[in-house]
Amino acid sequence: MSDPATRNAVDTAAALNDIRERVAERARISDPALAEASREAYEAVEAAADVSVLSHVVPITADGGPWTLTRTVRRALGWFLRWQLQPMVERQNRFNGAAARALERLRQRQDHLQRRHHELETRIAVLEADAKATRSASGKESM
Amino acid sequence: MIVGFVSPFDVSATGIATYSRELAPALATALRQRSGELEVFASDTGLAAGASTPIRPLSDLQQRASALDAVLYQIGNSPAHAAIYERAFETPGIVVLHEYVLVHLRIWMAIAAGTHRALLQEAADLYGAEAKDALTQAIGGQFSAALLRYPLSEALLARSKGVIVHSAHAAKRVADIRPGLPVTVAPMAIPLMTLPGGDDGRTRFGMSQDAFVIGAFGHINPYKRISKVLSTVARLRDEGVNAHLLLVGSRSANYAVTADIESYRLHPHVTVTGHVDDERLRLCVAACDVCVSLRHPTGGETSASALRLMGAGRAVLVSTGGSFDELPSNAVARVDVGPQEEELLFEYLRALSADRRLRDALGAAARAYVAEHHSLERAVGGYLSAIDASR
Repeated sequence: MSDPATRNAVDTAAALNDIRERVAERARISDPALAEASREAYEAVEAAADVSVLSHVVPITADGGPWTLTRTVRRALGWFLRWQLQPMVERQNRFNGAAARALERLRQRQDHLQRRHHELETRIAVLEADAKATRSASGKESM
Repeated sequence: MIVGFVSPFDVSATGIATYSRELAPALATALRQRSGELEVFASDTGLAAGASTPIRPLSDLQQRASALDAVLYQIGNSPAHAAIYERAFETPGIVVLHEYVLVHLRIWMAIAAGTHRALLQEAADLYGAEAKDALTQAIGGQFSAALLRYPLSEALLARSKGVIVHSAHAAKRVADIRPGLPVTVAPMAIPLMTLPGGDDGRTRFGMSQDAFVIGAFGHINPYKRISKVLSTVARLRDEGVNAHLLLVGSRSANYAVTADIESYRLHPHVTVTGHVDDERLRLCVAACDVCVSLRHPTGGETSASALRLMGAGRAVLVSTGGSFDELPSNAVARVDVGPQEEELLFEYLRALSADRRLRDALGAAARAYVAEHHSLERAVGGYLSAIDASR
């Protein structure tokens, strides 16, 4: 650990805020429709990930009274069939997890490409404006 | 004045056991100074023999109830609190609500008692058909984040004489759920952790001495955003940072962390310890350069593990939202939940891996904050205020 004087010399709030602002600036999508599409894609992928895991132990319930027998029978069935059910649940979870991760990576890639596209469009607009200014300046000189 | 204190004490079952083990002796001392007394009731057999305060089994509470001036019930959203939840109905008192969402506890209790239909009806009456659907899915084995929108703490709050919470955020939610109920914010007591010197932790857990070790502590479940952290670790490694992730805590059945680690091909660069005892916990914290303590969504809890890591002088990254927003901006790095979550995680961790001064300064600010705001004295003061207010 460094000494207290050195630590105090670092403005942690400002340093962290700089990082946040840099990330926010890079992420900014000026087109509201694209920004909305990006938000929707994020929410859809999160919703898929949220329901991607099935519990290995599926609770079997029933209210009291006459249902107690049903509950006992269903629990016994679950116990006897666990060798068949649990591998199925595991396989399903493996697929669900892989699908959720693939969706997340595709979303990130789409977001990255969208921002890159926006950056390039901005640069093209600047270059076109420069070229126009250069053309009009050279036109005036030739007159 | 005789005050009852009801809690689980098995630390492997719930973090609230650790909280109570630290708080109960201090509260007992404070009450003795006011000519009072604390009677401790344990809902499990987790408390080691030789504890400084005598412990009674929870079954004794009913017969002692008439002698108690107030009863404090430690309630969290896990099965470890089921027996306490039931007692809080029989003998109403002050509920220490560690999270205002109790839906997982209520589902577990309904399954155990075979009363799930009544619970589904209660959810439908309180919140509508969507809540009933979410609970039905959960009872069928699929626990989604949507459950956290339905606290199911209304009935307990209606029976209680007062509530203690650990954040202004939780206090506001409790006031929304049960207007007029006395609510006290008592800061969570966090002892400042003293870390062992040297690199024993890295050696013991098989991590390279020159690695940039990122620690995540606590139960490994989907709400801790571990998947996002893994993706960030993979990206850091692609960029040349020798990052290693240390996951310390028990595994949830609802999150396949090993499959996630494998999918990022991070197996050699992630260590999963499982639940650890106090000594190993200190070694793990000492081994970390920075810690991540992300949570989303939350059930209104205050993260004891984030505060302990801060108290240990570690730079900690937390999610925005809930009680995390009450932490000062010079003492934690906040990670917004949303499309830029991983980008922000990556940039923070890259900066912290490259700048030891920033890491140390953030850790020092965190420790100073915990020392000032989360002392045992302040916590006990909050409890005494709540007891006075309920009489």
